[in-house]
Amino acid sequence: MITLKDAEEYAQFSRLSANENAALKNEGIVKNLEKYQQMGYLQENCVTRIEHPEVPYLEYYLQNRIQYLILQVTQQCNLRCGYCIYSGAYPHQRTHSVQKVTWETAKEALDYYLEHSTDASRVTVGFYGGEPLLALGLIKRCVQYVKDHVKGKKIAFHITTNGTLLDPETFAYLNEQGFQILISLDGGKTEHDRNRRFVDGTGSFDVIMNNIRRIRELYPEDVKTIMFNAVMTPQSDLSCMMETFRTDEVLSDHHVMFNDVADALGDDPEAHERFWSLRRFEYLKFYLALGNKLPWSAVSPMAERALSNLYTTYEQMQGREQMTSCMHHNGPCVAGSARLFVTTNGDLYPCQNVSELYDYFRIGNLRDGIDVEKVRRLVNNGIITENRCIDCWKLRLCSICSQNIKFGGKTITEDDKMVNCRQQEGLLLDYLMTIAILRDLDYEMDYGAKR
Amino acid sequence: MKTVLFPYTDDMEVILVHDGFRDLQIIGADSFPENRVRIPESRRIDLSDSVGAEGLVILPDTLPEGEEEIRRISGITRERGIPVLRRITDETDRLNYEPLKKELPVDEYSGMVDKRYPIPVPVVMIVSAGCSCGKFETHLTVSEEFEKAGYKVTDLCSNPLGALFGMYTVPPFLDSGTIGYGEKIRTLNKYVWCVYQKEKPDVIILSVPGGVFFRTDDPKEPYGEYLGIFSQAVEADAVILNIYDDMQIDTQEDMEDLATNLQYRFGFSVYSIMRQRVIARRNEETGIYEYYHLPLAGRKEEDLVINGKDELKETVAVLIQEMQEGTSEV
Ligand code: SF4
Repeated sequence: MITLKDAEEYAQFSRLSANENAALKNEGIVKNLEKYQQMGYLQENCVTRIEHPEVPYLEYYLQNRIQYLILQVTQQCNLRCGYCIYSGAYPHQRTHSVQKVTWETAKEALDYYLEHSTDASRVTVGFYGGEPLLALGLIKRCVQYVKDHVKGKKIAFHITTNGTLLDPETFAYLNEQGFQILISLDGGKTEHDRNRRFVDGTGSFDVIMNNIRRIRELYPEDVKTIMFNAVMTPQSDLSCMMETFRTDEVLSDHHVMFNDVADALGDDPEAHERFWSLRRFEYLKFYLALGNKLPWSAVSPMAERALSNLYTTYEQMQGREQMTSCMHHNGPCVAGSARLFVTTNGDLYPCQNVSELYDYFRIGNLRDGIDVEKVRRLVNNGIITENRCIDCWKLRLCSICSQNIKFGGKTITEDDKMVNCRQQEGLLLDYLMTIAILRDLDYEMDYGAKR
Repeated sequence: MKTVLFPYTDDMEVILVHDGFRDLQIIGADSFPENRVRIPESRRIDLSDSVGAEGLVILPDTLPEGEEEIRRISGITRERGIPVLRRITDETDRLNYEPLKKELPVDEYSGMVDKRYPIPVPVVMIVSAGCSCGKFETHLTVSEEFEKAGYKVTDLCSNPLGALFGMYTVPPFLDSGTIGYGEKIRTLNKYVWCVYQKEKPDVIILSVPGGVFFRTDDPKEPYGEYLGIFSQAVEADAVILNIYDDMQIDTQEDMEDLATNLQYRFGFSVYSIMRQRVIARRNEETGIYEYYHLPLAGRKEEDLVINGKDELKETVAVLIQEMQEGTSEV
């Protein structure tokens, strides 16, 4: 990436980018153009075709390299969180149900995974719900089955739980088996209980914290491996949430991830403004800290996440490898290989975030295996906007996964995807501006300096 | 030697394809339960059935998590009087396993006059774009084709498993941290010459460890250092370059760029470029490259075909013809 600080050069390139043909006759402009071309920038566009680089290898990946199995052990949950995607508020998502996976289906899923992951360097199984701890017995059986059938590589287990059933005994078992435990917790009592309530409407905060305190007493070191996922909604008091995770005697030792539920913003412009202005403020403090204009103690961990995104984009911008005639934008993983989500009835999806109601995302079932064509459609989504992508300045930078595109459920159109393209443009321009401002603050985005 | 293999790795497929070459006879193969299915059914055995085996070979590049099972199986095998061959990486291994290597004893090549020893027979060198790019398979195929054409071949193989086929393996001084680069060149030159003197072959085939481009995780081998040593120590008459399946070398111009690159860095011209069924992918979590061997092998015997093999045989045939006609520089 180059930032033009020289006013004359800037004017010259502005003329060029305004497509002034006369500019190409100007000797100074041509010289500068050549200078940057020699440095690897401003190359002729050689892209003629859009195809995801893994498309030729999909069969191989799906046959031998499934890396992560996520098993939906139950669709039941003992909470009814306000923003839950299964709450019924989202027309394209299923709702809570009493369906549970049977041992036969779970075993079939594990067998399918083990048989199709022979080239993966580890076995990773995640348990998902509903609330997966409602099916602890089945989880234990799955764990034993995997341990009995895998002897030559590392085994990892993950569980995402609401924490209400995580008593010390359950923790001891999961910990002994090496589980990575992620608990959904939205900060302090007020913040958390606003959305995360039991079926009878009572808040779940006290129950979870009571569990964590008891675990802490018995396993003061091991308890620290528990991670938290905090969901931010437009109603959330961000600063209060941050404060809780930073100062709470029990929580401050743990790794916290922050997520937002943009869908829950609804159409209320005030809610949007409140939500985004708070975030912008957090980011501003963070960037000022980078430029040594503010102490780090004033910065929230939520904003720190922005740095890794910024660095990733910056690194991509720095890349000056030759473009090739066939390219694809970022975003899609190798669906079904990076992750394989198996529902209680044995249907296969690329991950737990996609709509289980859309056939578009159902990439197969345990009996018939994975439909490679459906995977190809998800992975090779650049083809939807092929003509635009070929000429797009963001081709190496943008990141659009099929799961993030809003569409009617049948097929994704160019218009559907263009909504995401415009978002990407805004985001990338924001990053560019941030990088330029950080430079003005004397913060150099070089990797060695990464905090 | 009547041999049993454990566990399944990409190299196992290669060895099974070349079962019967020279003195190697594979009785069968076994693996960890999670990837036994990759062994062709007709070759799959339970290790406890390895009646008549003269050796169990533990294939290199297994993950540390498999060590417990490997030690258990090796122990049982040894108790039954069958030696267990393995690449030795630490002192405990030295006690438990027969080393999987073939090297000249140090006194056979050290202490000689300091001069460059010209190798009097043709040398074919097999190199690759990066690690794990099918050199072992290429090496075996080239050797086999030369032998079929009636030539006596001596090999120096980049893969320790070459020892199963009577090939010399990479001499230890190349990995030494106390010997300088120039000294390694001199010693390797002597080493290859001594191997020649001992074996008196018609042709020498060398495969060079590591790769010539960036994809490597070995800090000792950042930019084709081994190849730098090999190319200076031994003048190759023909160089075969293996590339990954997805390397974009499609046009004549791409080929020329690649040839020029190797010419100025290592001083040789490439005789043939072989596209291998391997892709290299960086694991974002660990930051290291992983190598994916693409053939969907292991289910059926007929799947055990390494792509590019036919083309390679043609290349060797042309090379042999040129040697016979004297039209090649070889
Ligand atoms: S922003 Fe849209 S048009 Fe541009 S590269 Fe990304 S997907 Fe293609």
